[in-house]
Amino acid sequence: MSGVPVDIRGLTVQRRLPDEPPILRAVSLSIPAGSRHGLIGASGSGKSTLLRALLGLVPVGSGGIRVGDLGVPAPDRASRQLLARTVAWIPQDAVGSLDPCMTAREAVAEGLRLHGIAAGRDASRRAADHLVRVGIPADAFDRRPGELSGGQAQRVAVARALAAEPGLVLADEPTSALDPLVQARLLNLLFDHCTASGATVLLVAHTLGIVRRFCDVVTVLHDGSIVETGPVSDVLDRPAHEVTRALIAAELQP
Amino acid sequence: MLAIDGLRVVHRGTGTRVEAVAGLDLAVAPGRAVALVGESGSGKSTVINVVLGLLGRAEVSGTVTVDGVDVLRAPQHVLRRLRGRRVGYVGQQPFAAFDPLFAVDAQLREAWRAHASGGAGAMDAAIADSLDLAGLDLSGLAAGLPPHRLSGGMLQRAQVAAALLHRPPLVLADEPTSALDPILARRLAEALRALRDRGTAILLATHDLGLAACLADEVVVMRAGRVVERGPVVDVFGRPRDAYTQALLAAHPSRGLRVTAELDRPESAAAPARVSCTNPSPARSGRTEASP
Repeated sequence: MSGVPVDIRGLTVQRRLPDEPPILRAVSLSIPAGSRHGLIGASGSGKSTLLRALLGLVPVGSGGIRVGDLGVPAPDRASRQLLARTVAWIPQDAVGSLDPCMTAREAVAEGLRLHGIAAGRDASRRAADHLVRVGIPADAFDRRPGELSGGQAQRVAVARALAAEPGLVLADEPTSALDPLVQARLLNLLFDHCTASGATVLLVAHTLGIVRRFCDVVTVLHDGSIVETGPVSDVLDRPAHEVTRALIAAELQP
Repeated sequence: MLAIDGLRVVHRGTGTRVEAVAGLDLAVAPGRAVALVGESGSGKSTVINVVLGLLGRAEVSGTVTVDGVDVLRAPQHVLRRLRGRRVGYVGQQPFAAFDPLFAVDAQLREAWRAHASGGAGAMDAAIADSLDLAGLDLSGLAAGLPPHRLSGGMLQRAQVAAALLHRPPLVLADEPTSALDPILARRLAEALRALRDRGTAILLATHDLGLAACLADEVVVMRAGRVVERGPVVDVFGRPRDAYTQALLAAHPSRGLRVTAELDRPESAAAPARVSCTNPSPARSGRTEASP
């Protein structure tokens, strides 16, 4: 599948208690197919909630989301399945997100079977190919998450996410728990694959250097609202908003 | 304040032997900060655990002196007096640092009472000061909440406050900013730097080279338990001589996340997955670093 565009119009997400401020307020964002979009902001600004809304995992208060031709949340079972195939999610904590009882090979094969891409032994064989592509050594195919290093578990999560050839990849700080060498390898790998497949990428990052290196466009969230969005070079080199300036000023560089 | 001479640590499991630290000499004077940097599995956290006297059954040799106390040979009651009052510790697992059943602010009061005497006024003042230093407000909505109701970042700052309660002359910090967003991380780094400037000795273990550059005077680059390069921060980060240090710097986000040939080897070499070591298996949580 090649990349799909994302269109978010006036998205508001409420907390459970009505007197608390909303998590997202009237967020509108248009992401063209195949672009690499960075999402930055302080903790609690709504970045992860925006990703979860794109997955259809949070109740939308008002506004609308379209991923390609699909509305989110999906109205029926068939479109939910299509959406699940189109959108892939790479979490922050891979070890926690993988089924602790499933081996690396099973974790990837499960996705292939669920989406009807491959069945039976063919799914296992193709899962192994996907694991090789992300650099998992053959002797680790049959290990469970607890027996993998943090970097290996995150690679398995990437393989699982990319196996169904998604049109949109949502990555929520995918390398924040990893050491710098593993982080650099994994991000290069992820973006090389997405460039090859043409998938649209929405990346949440705390580290501005990652956005500078891999993204074309960046959006700055603050307290549930977009305060600035534009090409990475414009926003990070000539920030217009004080929140962006604070994020840039906070960067710790060796 | 802290002196480490010829430290060697070996973890032995069934049929496995991992040399976690292979000969380390280190001194941290009052008002100085030293950073141990390197990838996962390089031995940084092991050094911190040795200084705390918390390494269990590992084979440890060499000498470690904290505040005049020989840590490797001192009896437990001496070590207990040292920890908390003379040595503050910020670990990399904020959720594991607190009892899940009790309110975080109550645990701060308990930590104060464990090592100090004095009225409630002195206690409240000490806790308020430490929370302020750590950049955390536990009044209002956060008052009386148990750990699972706070975010990882709040717990990490609460842990910093607990470590600083008795203004220990030595602070050991193991990835103290791993759960913080960049703005809070910068604030904490600056607060620790201010403590250093007022005479606190700090030993930092981190893979965040930016944090090391902000806080430390001296940096020690470790790889698989060995020191590959060390020196003043400006020299090591400005003109790295060792290929491994160069690779670490090239991989940093501010320098383009470049993957150099030096990095092309399996991660399993860096973070052995199946080694049974004497370290208790850390609780997996949120954004914290999973492997020691």
